[in-house]
Amino acid sequence: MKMRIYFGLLFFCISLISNPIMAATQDEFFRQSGKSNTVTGVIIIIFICIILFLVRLENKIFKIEKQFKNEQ
Amino acid sequence: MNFLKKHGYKLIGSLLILYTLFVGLSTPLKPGITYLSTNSIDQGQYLNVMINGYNTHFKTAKDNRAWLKIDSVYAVEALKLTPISETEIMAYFLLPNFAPDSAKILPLGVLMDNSLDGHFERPSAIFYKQNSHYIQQGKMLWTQWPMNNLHTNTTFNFPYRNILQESIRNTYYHVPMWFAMIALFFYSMILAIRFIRSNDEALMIKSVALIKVGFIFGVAGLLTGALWAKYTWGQYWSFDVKQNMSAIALMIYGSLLVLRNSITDPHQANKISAAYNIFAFAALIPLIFIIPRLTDSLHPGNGGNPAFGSGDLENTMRMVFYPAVLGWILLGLWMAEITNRLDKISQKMTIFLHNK
Repeated sequence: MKMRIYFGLLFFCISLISNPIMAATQDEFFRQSGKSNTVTGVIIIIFICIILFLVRLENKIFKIEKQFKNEQ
Repeated sequence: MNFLKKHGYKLIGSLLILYTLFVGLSTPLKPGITYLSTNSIDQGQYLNVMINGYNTHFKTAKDNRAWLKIDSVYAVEALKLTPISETEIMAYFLLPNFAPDSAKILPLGVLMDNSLDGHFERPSAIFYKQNSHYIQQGKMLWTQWPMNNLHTNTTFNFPYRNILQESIRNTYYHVPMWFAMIALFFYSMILAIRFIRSNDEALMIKSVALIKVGFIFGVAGLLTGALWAKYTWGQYWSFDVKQNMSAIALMIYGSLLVLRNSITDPHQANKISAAYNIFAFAALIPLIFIIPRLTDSLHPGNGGNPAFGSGDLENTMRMVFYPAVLGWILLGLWMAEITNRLDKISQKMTIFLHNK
């Protein structure tokens, strides 16, 4: 389930990256109005959240692995 | 020190992708020409054309120059240039009576130059039509306005390409995802070979984890490519040979995962998926690298077009592209490691519950 969530988040991030770029293709308004900076910022925040999620997931896995070792 | 050895690649991968996101999305494009109000002219006629620029400074720059050029030798300079705004300029040309070529239709590029934007060009922007030709005189007429003392834009900008425009940035996400997928599948195949030689089940669990993550990267590559295709080629899926072949390659790997899950005996599943994995990678190479090069394709690097040559990837882009490739590969390896550990835990849990 967790894997699904984080793969889903990855897809979401990728689609966010792609969409604004494409919108700008049709109109230079996107970049010249400075809205692209906001989008870049949001994407970077989402990516940092994904990294933090992976770190947290890894820590949880480490705890379970430790538990298994102790039980053995 | 031990921490860096164990987690260093994750840190490097994350930082490289952050760098790619920041620099790749925030660096502006070089100036370019988006649109011209006309696209054809007859020999010996006046041409008044509105040139629309992108990221240009026509009004601020006082030294605008423009040429209609056949090649680097033959060109006609604009008699007068009237800037309307920073991105619009009116150009007046007098086309000579003859061209230095006997062709009835000659494609002319538009070359602009000023001290702020440097020089930039739109190739095959206007078509010069001639009913009669006098090549010697044409050569003389078209060499009166040499394109010299051109300014160069030295700022760190990405190149402007006519069809791609801002979507050129997708190069840092779409292509590296495929590279990451191929790297993960390759590593997975190596582990499958090692499993066949050693019979170590742990190697195969890791190999399958790499396939799962590689598959995700492949789907992400297809999605980013389909979005890119919509805005540059006009539709999400144009049945381009590379699109079709990469979809087939992904289906081969997808069926590996389905086949593996359908076998109840874990040892047998490992043996079969290891052998399948080697054949799947052997099929991936011709599907992605060889077949698209044998036929016409919209993708660069196929149908005789060189990929990542000076036409596709400038040095400014390489500074983001290569870190992006490395970053996505390292992130993929990290995700595969997590998947591998989760699979191992789930296997242990199954055995634990079975014994209970």
